[in-house]
Amino acid sequence: MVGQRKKDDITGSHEERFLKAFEEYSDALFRHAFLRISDRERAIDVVHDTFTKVWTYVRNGHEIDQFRPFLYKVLNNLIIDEYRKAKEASLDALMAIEGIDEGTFDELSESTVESLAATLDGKKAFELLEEMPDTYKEVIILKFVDGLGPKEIAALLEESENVVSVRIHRGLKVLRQMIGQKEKEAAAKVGKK
Amino acid sequence: MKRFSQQFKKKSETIRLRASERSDLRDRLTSYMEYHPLPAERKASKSISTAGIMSESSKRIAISMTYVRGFAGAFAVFMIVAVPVVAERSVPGDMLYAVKTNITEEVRASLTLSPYAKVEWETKRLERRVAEARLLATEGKLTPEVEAEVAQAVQEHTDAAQEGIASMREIDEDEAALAEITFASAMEVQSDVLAGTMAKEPDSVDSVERGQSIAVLAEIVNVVRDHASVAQADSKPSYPKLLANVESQTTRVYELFESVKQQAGAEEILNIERRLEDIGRKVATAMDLHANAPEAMVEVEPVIEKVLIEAIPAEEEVLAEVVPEADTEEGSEATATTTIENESEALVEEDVDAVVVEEVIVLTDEERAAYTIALLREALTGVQKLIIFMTDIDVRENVTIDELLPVTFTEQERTEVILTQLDVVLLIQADIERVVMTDAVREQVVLGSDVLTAELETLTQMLADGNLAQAEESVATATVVAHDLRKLTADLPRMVDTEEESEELEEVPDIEESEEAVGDVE
Repeated sequence: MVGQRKKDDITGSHEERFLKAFEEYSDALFRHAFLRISDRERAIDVVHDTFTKVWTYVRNGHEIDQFRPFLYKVLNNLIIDEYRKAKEASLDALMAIEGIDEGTFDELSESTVESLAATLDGKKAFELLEEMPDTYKEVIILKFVDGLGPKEIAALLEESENVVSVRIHRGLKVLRQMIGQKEKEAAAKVGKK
Repeated sequence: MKRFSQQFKKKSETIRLRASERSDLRDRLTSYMEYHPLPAERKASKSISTAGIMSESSKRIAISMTYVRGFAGAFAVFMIVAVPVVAERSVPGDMLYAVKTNITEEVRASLTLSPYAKVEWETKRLERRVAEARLLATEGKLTPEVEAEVAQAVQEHTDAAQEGIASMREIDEDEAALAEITFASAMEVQSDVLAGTMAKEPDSVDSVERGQSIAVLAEIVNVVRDHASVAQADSKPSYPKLLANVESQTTRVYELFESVKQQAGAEEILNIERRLEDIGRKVATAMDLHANAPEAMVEVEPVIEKVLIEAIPAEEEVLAEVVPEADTEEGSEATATTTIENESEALVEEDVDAVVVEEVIVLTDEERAAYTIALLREALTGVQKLIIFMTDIDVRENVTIDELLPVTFTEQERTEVILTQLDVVLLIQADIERVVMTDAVREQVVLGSDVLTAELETLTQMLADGNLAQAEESVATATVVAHDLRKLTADLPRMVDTEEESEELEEVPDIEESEEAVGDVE
């Protein structure tokens, strides 16, 4: 899962390397964007913008050793911009809720994340992803869809690893709640019938 | 966990770009890259393979490559066409001068394949160097360094031309001979042009320096010219080749003349027409001679060549010697005695001359052949000079056509000139007879008059025989003697009507001119 962290091939011209990165990461980036934005067209645009921004960065004389983290970083910033454009208030609100919370010991432990995850139905959780607040969605996608490690996610989001771990933990909890709620609703429906 | 992650991941992988979306995105991106290409220095040493880009959006790349090619093409055109074109106008000291001499001209030199063309081109280059030097000199920019450079270049081009001629001689002697004639006539023109430029310079201190600087160059060119004309005289082109060359060049002259006619003044047209007639006459004479002695033309044998070399230049030499001597005498304050002494010397020379001329006139087949060739050679030189005169504006500005290619007089004209001169001499003679002589000059005058009378007798004889060259000689000598006599007796009173007579004499300034013309004829 996390094994793709190999260094990008640094042979070849800048154009070649850049296009290779596109072949390699465009799908993953699109998936990430689509899951976060839930709009196919806009997700494609965001991925496009990500690559053009990176290209501009290369043109300006910067060397990029590893494209993946860099691409994710740019993509993430663009997605946040998207949110700002779309629902500024709600994002601010979300940001406000987060932040100072340092999290409990439980939430910081990797093993509890795993045990928590083990109790969840992956398929159902995935379907509910869309309804999650973006703060959690972001980390969940980064971890479980994009396969990034806590360290990478932390670097990407410019948060501490702790914050990332807590967020993942809480995200999973939220997912579990949501799944529970769905099941209740479903049961209630069946009951009514 | 594993199950969750796997399920989650599996589910997420159902989300991917469709093939169309993907290629579309790729196209957008590559076109973005094309319009925002890397700056040149970012391209680094790694070769750029466009294959990857080409695969899915070949169309756009193709457009871009067209741009690239177009740009590269434009640049190449600039380097290959524009720079040399601009460089063509450069003179020593200009930035592009090196491009002109070391690249453009060398390229042209390497493109000329035939040795003949090579010699022609080297000659042209030599002419260009001289023209540049003159241009710089007239602008007062000819420094000693530049001049040394030009001199060296002149030497180099001469060597190259000679080398070309030498290598040609191994293959085709006739061609080599023609090339030699061409080179020699070009050098004559250059030397005339330089002389013309020097003569034009006004007498300020500055321009004296300039004049001197060209003088050095002129000297070099003169040396080259002398070498060339000697070499040219030694070469023996065959009649058919020479005639063919003369004819093709004449055709060119007529073409040029047609195109020049519109712009040229009436006088210029007359001048050129006159030269063309001269050349035509020479060719006709040569053809006549050739037709009358076909057997002599089969092969030019060594003996004949010897005759040619001896007979023709010898005649020229003697003529050349006699005429300038006569000129200096005329201008000097020499007494009649010295004149007479020189006169007798001249007479001795004339005897030699007479012998030589006789050889030419009593034509054996061999001599006829030699004379034919000499005539054609003269015609060719004339044609070439005319071509240069008509095509090179620079030459035209600095040299008159008379300096470059003096008129060749027909026998009739020559006779007329002689008769005019004779009239003048007779007038002077009549005038002198009326002089009231003092004892101081009597002896000299009597002696001079005797010489004059003898000379006039010879002259009459020669005219009767149709020996024009000799007659010209005689009339020239007679004129000189007559002038000296007049000078000697100028202060002495005349018996009757003296004033009028001498005034009348003053009004005949034609003498000097016609004399010069006579001197140049051969």
